[in-house]
Amino acid sequence: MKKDIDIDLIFDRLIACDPLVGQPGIPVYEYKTDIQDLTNEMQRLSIAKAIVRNNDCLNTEPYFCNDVLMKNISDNPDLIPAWFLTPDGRGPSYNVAELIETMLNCKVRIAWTDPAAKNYLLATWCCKEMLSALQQHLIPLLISFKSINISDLHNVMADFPKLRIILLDLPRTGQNIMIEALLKNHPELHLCFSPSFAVHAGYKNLCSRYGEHRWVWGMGYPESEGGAGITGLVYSGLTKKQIEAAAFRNMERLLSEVKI
Amino acid sequence: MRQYDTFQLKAFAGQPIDQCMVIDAHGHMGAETTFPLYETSPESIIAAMDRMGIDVFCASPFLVVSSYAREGNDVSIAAVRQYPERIFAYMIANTGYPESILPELERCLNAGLRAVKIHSHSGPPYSHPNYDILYQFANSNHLPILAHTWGDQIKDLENKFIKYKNINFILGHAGAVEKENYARVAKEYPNVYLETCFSPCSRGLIEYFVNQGLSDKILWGSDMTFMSAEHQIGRVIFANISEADKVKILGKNAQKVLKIKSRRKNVS
Repeated sequence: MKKDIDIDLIFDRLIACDPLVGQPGIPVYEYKTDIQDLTNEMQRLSIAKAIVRNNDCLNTEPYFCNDVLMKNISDNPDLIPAWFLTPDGRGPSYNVAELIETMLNCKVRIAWTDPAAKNYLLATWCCKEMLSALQQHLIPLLISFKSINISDLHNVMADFPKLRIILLDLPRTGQNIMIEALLKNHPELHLCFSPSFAVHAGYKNLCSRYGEHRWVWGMGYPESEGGAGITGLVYSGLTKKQIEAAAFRNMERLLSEVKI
Repeated sequence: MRQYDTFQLKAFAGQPIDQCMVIDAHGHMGAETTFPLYETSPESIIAAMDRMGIDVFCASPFLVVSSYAREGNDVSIAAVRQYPERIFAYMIANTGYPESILPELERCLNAGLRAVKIHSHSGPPYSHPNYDILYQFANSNHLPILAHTWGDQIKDLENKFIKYKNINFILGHAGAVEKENYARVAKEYPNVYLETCFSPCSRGLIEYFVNQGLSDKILWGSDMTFMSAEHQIGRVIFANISEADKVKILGKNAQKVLKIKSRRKNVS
């Protein structure tokens, strides 16, 4: 079989940037959405690594849930933890800059947040210390498109131009006017190519206009069939170099550039 | 090391599916969209089809959600004439305006279109008397109907499944909600089929319908260019089902239901 894409390279390094583990309060899915299920899916789909968030952070005390995540993945080097952060940090000190130092000491190189779930605004007056520390250390911050006010995102990226934001769960509604404006205005904005962001001819178009360095890849776990993410990438019409950039190189670079 | 089937190996290699006919039973044509898309040209559709190995793209115009049926059908007729082996078009009608329905459907039939698309987004519900004109036409001419559905519309259609036995009803977005109800009608009525396209690419939905014994009644569709076929095809390629069922879902069932005679691939 002629190899248009280096299968082995994908096998070895493909990184899923969007998995959410943790059982919902009521059973939403017909399968468990835990670490075991995620790793089974990764094996089934030949996904080498995953950046993992604990979904329970949204519903309860997030720092307890970060601890649970660290414990649950401690014996699996292929799972990369992302800590949930809030602008007030963690008690008893409630010093978010200290919390981020602790996070880095725990070898955690990526974070996520959800302003809607935690009843705060992603605004400089509200999140200055958190955003400042993330920018200073070049720590990528994962944010779901569903949880954010786009105007708020624009304002904080204008105030913190080196802050690295990765937008997840993008909609499939074509050439989104607001996302286009964000991409033009904020060079450190990165988008996740995933089953939800299923736009005809979109990936090729975006790569040709904004370069290949601004995209990462997601499998849509737990909601989506991860194989849809794989075919969405490999059949997208991108060049081999562009596919590899989205599949793993960009994420590897972002993690490696975090300043300890 | 996990063993992959031939579909998955093709996908991992970025190569087109060539071991069976692949028919996309649900797509759209034209540039008249409700939100801007990156590409809508027939050329971009054909290029995507070639990358994945899709033989035939079965589509209706975006204007199906408007009252511009004639203009929409003109887009479809032009595309079919440009790519007769690759594009199969569903005709549409302005179902809110009963006097226009029959002349427009007859015009499309004479132009060579051989299926109908209905959409509940605008216009009356599928149970409205205006629709009987369309159903009677389709029934008389043995034309399949692809119906946009999102759960609720099944109750408006169910007595039509019995009344119009010459129509193969294809329920679009099957399982988007109430998957059990979709499975029920597909089992109960021999002329009801399920079409798969669904933007969240829900994990396990294809397997659910196959495990219900419905592998002969599932048609793969993408909703391209509203969505990307590249993602939707992965739901079948990576589904935990047999290769024989993938052959049926990806094309064999659609060949039968839509009476598509493409011989593009030399496959048995």
